[in-house]
Amino acid sequence: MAGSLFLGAGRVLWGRVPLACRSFSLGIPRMFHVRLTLPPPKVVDRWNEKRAMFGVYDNIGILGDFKMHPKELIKGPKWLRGWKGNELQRCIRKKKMVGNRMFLDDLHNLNKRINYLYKHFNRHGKYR
Amino acid sequence: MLQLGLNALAEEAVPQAAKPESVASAGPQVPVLRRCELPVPAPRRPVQAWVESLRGYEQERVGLAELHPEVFSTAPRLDILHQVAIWQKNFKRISYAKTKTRAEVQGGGRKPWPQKGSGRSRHGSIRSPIWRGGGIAHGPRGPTSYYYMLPMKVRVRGLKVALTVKLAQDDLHVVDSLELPTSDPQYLTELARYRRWGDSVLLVDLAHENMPQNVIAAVSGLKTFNLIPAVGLNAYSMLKHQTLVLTLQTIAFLEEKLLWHDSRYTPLYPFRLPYRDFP
Repeated sequence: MAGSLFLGAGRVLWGRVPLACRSFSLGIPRMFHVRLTLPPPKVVDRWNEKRAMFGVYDNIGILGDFKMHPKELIKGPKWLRGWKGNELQRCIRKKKMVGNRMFLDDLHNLNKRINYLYKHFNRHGKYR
Repeated sequence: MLQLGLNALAEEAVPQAAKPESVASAGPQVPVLRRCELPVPAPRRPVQAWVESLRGYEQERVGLAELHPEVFSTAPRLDILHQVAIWQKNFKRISYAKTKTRAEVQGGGRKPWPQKGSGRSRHGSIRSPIWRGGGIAHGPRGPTSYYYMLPMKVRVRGLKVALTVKLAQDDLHVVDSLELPTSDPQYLTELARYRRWGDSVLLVDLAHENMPQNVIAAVSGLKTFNLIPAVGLNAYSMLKHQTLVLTLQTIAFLEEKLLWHDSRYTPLYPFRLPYRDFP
């Protein structure tokens, strides 16, 4: 990359100079990576529909007679709604719940990952 | 909020924010008074708030409402409020970041060159993490969920603390009902500016069915004025909006729902399954 050339040049300068004599006038390697024009500022609408209504209905259980639970509001993959686990637990749960309809390659990779994580957690490291 | 006797309502003349007093144009009206239905524990007295009306610009003291102190003047536990706000932000979060490990990157099954003899460093596959284009060793793995639940009583207390803090900082306004004379969004913004409510207002009515059409139309045209049913109230929205406007029915609903948790038995099975004496 172009940057590495300049990095090399900067290092050559600094390598020969003792620490006490390094001064600004000798040039700073970092100067090569500073951009002189700012990008246009990112315009973030803090009051769009999603941000203004964030968190509404989170207390649907306690305020709504417990007919619903807030975990039913979560939108996401079926094996992760209202549930948390480490990587091995997530892989096992995914295999249990959607393994029968996954693509063959993905299922194979998932099985390999489960095998690897089982061996890692139960045979390697300090905590097993 | 000043402590006023309900009897002395007529003579009380201290303005809320140094605005000139003005009597309602329809002549002397009966003030709207609301007492706490639920029992207030003995050493504490109900905390009071003006009941306002949205029908006219200057109808700011249409009555007086007594609010239960355990809900609207509980200890200002900012740590609980923080816990609840962070919980609301995170428990729904599912991060979809995923990288391929060296086993998942296409290719890389064969040893690129023999172990000894070629003079190059030894490698077993071209997709190991030290290679360009190889897998990532410790990257994000698959959709991760950050779900957790705070205890129910902590979430309830967070709501109570949020209401307390809003009332204590003069950001809570009680309204008799959310009826507007027009459905013009401009009217609402002018009203909020006249009464110095702030940039963002959260209006809370009791249920979706009985919301007046004028309010729905006015609020749908505005970004920072939002209307929600009482079931949708939460600490995060209360912190996001500068002012909170509750109706009298909403206050009764909230008090009943939030105070029940102070004196309930621990659930032997989830509350969504039927109990003999609840609801």
